[in-house]
Amino acid sequence: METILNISNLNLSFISDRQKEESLFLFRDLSLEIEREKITALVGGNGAGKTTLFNVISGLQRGASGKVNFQGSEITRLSPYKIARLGIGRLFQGARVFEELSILDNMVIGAIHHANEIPFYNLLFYRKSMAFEKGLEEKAEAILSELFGSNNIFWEDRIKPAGNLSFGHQRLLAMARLLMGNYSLYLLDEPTAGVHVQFIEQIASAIRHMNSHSHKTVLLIEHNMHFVRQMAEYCLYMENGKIIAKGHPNDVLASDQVQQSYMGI
Amino acid sequence: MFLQFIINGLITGMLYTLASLGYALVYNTTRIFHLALAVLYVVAAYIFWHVTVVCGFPMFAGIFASVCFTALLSLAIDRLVYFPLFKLKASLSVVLVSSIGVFTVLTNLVALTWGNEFKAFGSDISRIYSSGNLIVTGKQLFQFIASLVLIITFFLFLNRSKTGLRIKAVRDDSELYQVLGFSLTKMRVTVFLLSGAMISLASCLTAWDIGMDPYVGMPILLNAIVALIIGGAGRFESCVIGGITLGILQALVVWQWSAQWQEAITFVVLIIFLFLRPQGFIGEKSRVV
Ligand SMILES: Nc1ncnc2c1ncn2[C@@H]1O[C@H](COP(=O)(O)OP(=O)(O)OP(=O)(O)O)[C@@H](O)[C@H]1O
Ligand SMILES: [Mg+2]
Repeated sequence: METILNISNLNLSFISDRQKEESLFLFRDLSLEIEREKITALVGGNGAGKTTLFNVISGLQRGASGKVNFQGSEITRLSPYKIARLGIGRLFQGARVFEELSILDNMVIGAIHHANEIPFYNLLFYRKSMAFEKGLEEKAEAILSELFGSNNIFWEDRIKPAGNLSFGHQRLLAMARLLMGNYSLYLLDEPTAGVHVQFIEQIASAIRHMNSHSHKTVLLIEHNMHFVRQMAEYCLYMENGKIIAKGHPNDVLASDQVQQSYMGI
Repeated sequence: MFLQFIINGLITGMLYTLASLGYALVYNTTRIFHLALAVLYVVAAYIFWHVTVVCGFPMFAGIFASVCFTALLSLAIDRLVYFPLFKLKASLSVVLVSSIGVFTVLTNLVALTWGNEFKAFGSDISRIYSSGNLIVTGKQLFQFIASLVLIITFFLFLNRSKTGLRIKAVRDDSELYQVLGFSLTKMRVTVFLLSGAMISLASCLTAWDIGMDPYVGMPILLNAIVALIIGGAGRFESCVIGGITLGILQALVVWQWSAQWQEAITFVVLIIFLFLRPQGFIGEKSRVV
């Protein structure tokens, strides 16, 4: 089996705010491997460091020692935007959309295109950029209608600010936006948390779309064990700064260690 | 007389708006208390003065030179001071102190280069337009039209162009912006250049009318910052609402009491807002400074 992401001997500690001398060791020699084209779930208690691990992978959390390898090249100290451009997409915990931007702009900005970072590019290459822009809007429409049906509210309200959407819809939009980019690994932080049950099936189908449709790898953090069993082929259990169990979700979630510390049984 | 003061206040307010936009470009995207902007304001006026009065070039050449120079100096301040501190993860208060440092050093340099005394742009009596009791000088009319055009252009740029959209995106959520594959470093280049250009335009338009000395920058910047706060920090529309409110209030204070109170009213307004409506006119509650 081929791995897409490889983390070895990750160590990270914080100075605890209350007791200045004592450090909080979040990762202690953490290592893990993620299989290509599979859905893997990362499970662990509150505050275990799952989100922080995603932050390390996407370059937002500095100061960790150890190595992160993605598709064979080391990305440990790269800037977040370079890591994204190499093909790691990220869904944050909570609703994270650009509230002031329209729904359509939120989608379009999700497609990485270097040219747009040049100031006044659109004026300089007006024709070319207009055609390109149009292509992106069509792509957004296609993704939205594939995920949410052809009469979805996202496309209908596309010129309204994304901040007007409900929390659940903002999550779905953030999810759809990820499909605009050209990623090979998706890091999804609690995709179903705080979302109304009616949306969970849509989220699941978006994840399946990422995985089976376009053969992309998905690593997801999830507290909803039903969802983990339904979606994931692999499961990693994190505790005390390490991955202490890995394997098939049913086996991992049934193991004594996990039952004791996580389920509290 | 009332209307006269409203008109004067409106024009001053629009110039505050320009300065405030210059400040907001940096503040909204990086959260830096960019006090060195005050000295950029002063440098811009002196470059304009030097190119037109000393070298004898036409006014527009002077403004153009000033805009270019100030934008580059603004970028240099970020590259040489703020950005290295940002890389070192320095706190915003450290950045604030460094900004005051830049302000002090550059203000002294300006005073050494051009002297401490007041400078003005020729004494040509500009045309006066009057109707009834109302008087508007040609310079005022020009200030009004120029700042109106600039403000409209700025908002068209912000809302219509891709760069403008990205400025709003970083303002909203800079982490999200980065994980979508955009470089914060490149964004800083854009906002510092634009901020320098904006403050230079505000400065040239003002100095051309009322002249300058090396110390005019800070009072204007404080007005610009207060304008942003009372409008609602974090947004760009705030600069317009806050700037014009301040300009008109100041004019009314001068009309009712005396010019001495003009600066004081800025802080009275600030304190009232901080107590009663800290999110400003249009700010969201959660985004308080
Ligand atoms: N920059 C920081 N400084 C100090 N402590 C931090 C920092 N970042 C995270 N932590 C701590 O690290 C711990 C792990 O946080 P993290 O958000 O990664 O947990 P999590 O596993 O995602 O939890 P949850 O399931 O609740 O989302 C928390 O106790 C948090 O307080
Ligand atoms: Mg988390």
